[in-house]
Amino acid sequence: MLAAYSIPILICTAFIIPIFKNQKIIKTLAILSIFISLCLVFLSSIDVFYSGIKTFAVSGWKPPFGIVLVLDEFSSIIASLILFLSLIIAGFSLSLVKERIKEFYTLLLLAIAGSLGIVITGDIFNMFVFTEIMSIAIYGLISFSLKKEGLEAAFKYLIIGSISSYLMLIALALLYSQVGTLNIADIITKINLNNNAHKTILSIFLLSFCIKIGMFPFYVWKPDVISGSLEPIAAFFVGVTNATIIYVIIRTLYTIMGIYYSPWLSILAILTMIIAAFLALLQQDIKRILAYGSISQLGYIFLAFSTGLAFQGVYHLVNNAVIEVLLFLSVGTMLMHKNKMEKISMYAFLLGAFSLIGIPPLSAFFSKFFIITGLLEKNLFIYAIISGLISIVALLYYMKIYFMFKQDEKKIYWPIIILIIVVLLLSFVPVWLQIFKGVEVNLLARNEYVSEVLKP
Amino acid sequence: MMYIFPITMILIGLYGLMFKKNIIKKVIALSILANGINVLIIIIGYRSGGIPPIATPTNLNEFFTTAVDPLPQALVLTSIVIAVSVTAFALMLCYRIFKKFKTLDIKKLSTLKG
Repeated sequence: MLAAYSIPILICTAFIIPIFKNQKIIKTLAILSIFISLCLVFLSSIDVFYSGIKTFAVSGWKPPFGIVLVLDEFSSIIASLILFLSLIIAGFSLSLVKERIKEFYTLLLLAIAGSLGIVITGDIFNMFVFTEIMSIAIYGLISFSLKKEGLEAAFKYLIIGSISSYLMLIALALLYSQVGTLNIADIITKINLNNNAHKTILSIFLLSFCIKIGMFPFYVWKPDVISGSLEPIAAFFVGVTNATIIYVIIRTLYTIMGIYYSPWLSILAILTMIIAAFLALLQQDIKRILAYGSISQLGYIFLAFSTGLAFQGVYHLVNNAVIEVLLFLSVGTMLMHKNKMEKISMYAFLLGAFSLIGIPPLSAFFSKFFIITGLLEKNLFIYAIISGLISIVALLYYMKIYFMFKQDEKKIYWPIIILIIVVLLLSFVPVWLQIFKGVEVNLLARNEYVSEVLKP
Repeated sequence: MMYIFPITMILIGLYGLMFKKNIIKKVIALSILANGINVLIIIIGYRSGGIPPIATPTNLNEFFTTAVDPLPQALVLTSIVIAVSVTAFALMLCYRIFKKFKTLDIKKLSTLKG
């Protein structure tokens, strides 16, 4: 499995970068390493889509004894997504970050390696280690500006993030004491959901990630963190980290626990959606509005997954990650233009906002449409009506941001152009529908996952 | 019964994180929390009267029947390293915060509002 080599490539580059003094070499190395890992992951993803789950036993120790890296269709989609978005964000940072670029790229590469590791690992303790690598790198990135806002945001996220990581560690330790294994496939064979202890432990595990992503009762810190950090980092936080943590939650819920309809998670999701949307209306700062908007979108994704609408959820997850990065980066161009917005970014922002609101020919309209029709098919009328109405609230707050912009002259940034093209490409529904339906079949096949990973 | 000790540590850590106003005290509470969890993991792998998990060709039989579980100990090593790096980073952050804000009181760090 080629994708396994992308983690060492990223981590080694992260630690080679500080040796060099020349800025051009540092930038080239960083971009090149992300690009190479994207290529490796993409090649193995194609392999996975043609010939099923691929595994890689680290240093030859066979699962369930050693660490095993697993790439199935869901994880390959998410891995390609996060590396693509990281490449865009790193490319955008080239023109934005002018000083201390060594530290910036070292931390960025470590964060990318951590999130990639979380997605492709098949061992639950290894997942904890990668979560910590990602989190510590992100604490550093948030405080990178060394301004008051950045430091305060980093300290808040440090406390919240550490509590959630340590909750995860407690859950791991208790799970190990109950089932005696840390390999995900092996846990699936030994877990018994009629046993209350197992159920409680897995709920603590889910809770820890719900804290880290900022679900409804735990969302208060998130807008602070996003508005305190630089735009590319906020984009990384909202696009890449969220996608990674959603992946972990869905993996736990669907693959480990085998629960496809979870009433309590769907109630939390709907509350997240409503409360964040209305709080977004009350804000005055652009980044805070975007932050609450992104929390509200999380509600849609979790609503889809917690009611068993897997392919709709994956589709909206991909759409949402790409569009949130587009929104934050186009707002980020204001930093380089003295708080004015240059034209193409303004159109990019409008494209992303219209798509998230759900204007028909654009990508997120289709994913929201599939979610709502799916909810209607499952007779969850109230959820369907609320998710429709919240889209109208989204229209209000995105338009509020639009009227805050002042125009500036034209200048083209390639990362934004690429993202616009990708958002337009995501609107070709039939192709994506076929891919994501395949992912859904793959995600629901727990037995296949176990037998492929534990194959002698 | 042994579980009382780590659980007390974890609760002390959570108390400190929630109610202490000084950020250095919060960092100390964080490391108490982390160490409580480490002790918890060690206790999970413990078995009373167990021998150290070192296998030699002569004591294989004894190893399988009485040795303590080695895996939690390996996990704790990793987790200690992570806790140390988080604490180091947090202290560095406290230093920077003190230089910028001239205070260590969490209530006075309030540039982010809305």
